Amino acid sequence: MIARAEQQIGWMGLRLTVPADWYLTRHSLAPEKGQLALADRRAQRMQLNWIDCEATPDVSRMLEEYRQSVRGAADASDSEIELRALQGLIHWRGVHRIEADGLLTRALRFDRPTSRLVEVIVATDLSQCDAGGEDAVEVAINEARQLLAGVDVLSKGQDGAYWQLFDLKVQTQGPSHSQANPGQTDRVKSKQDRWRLIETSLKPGDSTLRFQHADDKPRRGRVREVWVRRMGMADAWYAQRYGSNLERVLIDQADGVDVTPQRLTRQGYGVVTSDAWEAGPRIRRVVRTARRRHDVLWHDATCNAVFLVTSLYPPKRPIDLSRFMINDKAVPVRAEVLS
Amino acid sequence: MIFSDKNNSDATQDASDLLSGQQASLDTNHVQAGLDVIDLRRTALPHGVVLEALPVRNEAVKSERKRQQLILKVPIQKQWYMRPPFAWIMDFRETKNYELDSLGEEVWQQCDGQTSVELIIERFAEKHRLHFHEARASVLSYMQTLAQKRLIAILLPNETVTSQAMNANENKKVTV
Repeated sequence: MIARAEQQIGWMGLRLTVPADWYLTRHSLAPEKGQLALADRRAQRMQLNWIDCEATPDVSRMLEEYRQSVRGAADASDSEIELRALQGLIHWRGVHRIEADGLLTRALRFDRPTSRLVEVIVATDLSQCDAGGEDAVEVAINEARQLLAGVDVLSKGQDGAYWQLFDLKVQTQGPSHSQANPGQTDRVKSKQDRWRLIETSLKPGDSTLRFQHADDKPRRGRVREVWVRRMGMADAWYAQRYGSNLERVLIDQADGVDVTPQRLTRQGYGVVTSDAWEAGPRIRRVVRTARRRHDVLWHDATCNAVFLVTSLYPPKRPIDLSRFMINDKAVPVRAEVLS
Repeated sequence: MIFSDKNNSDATQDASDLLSGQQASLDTNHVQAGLDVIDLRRTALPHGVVLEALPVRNEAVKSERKRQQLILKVPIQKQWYMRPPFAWIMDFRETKNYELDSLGEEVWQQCDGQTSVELIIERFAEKHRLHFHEARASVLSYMQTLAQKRLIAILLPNETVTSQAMNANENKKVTV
């Protein structure tokens, strides 16, 4: 059943509070329509779908159609399925579908300020419940209700500012937002510096999120980009392979770019930065299609990881990385240069 | 509805695929342990059963340490051309060697037939401060490679569990 410890996951302007041992198994990068799936150690437990609506959808009709389809399926298969209305939640309307060994809760919510229709499906295996019979059903219903109460719609998908991939949490609209209580429903109001997530890369112990500035047109040399990477299991490679030398890590990760690392310190931990041109032929600098590349790299022993933030920008439009928060800490940009 | 039902195991399988990386090629030239080897990532078994499985080292594999690295020596099954008279002329190697790094050794040492996959993952995650699921992808992928090289075999707790799990998996298509 659901563990007591909780975590918050942010994605595409949505924020969920789920048990700490759940994780994302599927995610969409399209802000208008997409889905998130979450699983515990053994099975998928929750799915969240969103879609932008031009007009207010008829949620009641959608639920009634669902009820009818379930009843039809139950009649056809001659199985016993009980349907109960979801109660006790203001924003959500939904149905609990109770079968012999499982409970499936489907709930819908239309968020008027953002014109987003959000659907959440929570699956519970009743055979895993400590309690039996009707008690197990009640426990499962309460847990589903608790999960639904933890789903917040913060903004439209394209204005999303919170992202999480395993242990890499990124906030693209800090620090004012970061200071707000993460538990409260603080809607993103600022339209400035909106960053769109365009790519994710996930390998064991190595997660990367790639952002593009929402206002930039995809034209060569004009697009501002930020890559945030968390290289975990540092104890296995950082000292052995690089001798705990961040400069060497940066040179190795620079993809052939001629970087000149500069060692800095901030808040007691070492940071290495570098400024260079992005990889490519020199002619691109002459015709002004080459972008500047700024790298910030630091080792965080508390989470046994090395973080690398790479920003690419046209020379006259540098990126203010101080608005980025990684794992609830500001990117170390304002630092003292070590002699 | 904007959502359509999917089998529960799909999503977790997607994630495993996403995380597991390249699948190593199967080398059938090694001495087999005589145990069923389960494909940990492609298997239709639910994740719960995979987590309860017990990895066990191939007893035919010898190990030795050279320059702080653990080297595993797997005997090669002798083909017809490896026997005399060809063997009098050419020197065929009798073992295939694999060098394990520190992470690999950590997993290898725990494949004792007593420690479950779940416990190995938990220990790995705790030691390297990883999310359980991140560690699972890493450990399962590595175990799969070890199993394909016939260095380990994966044992299920018992057949009953397997058949129950299979049935449960089929039922899920109906209920969830």
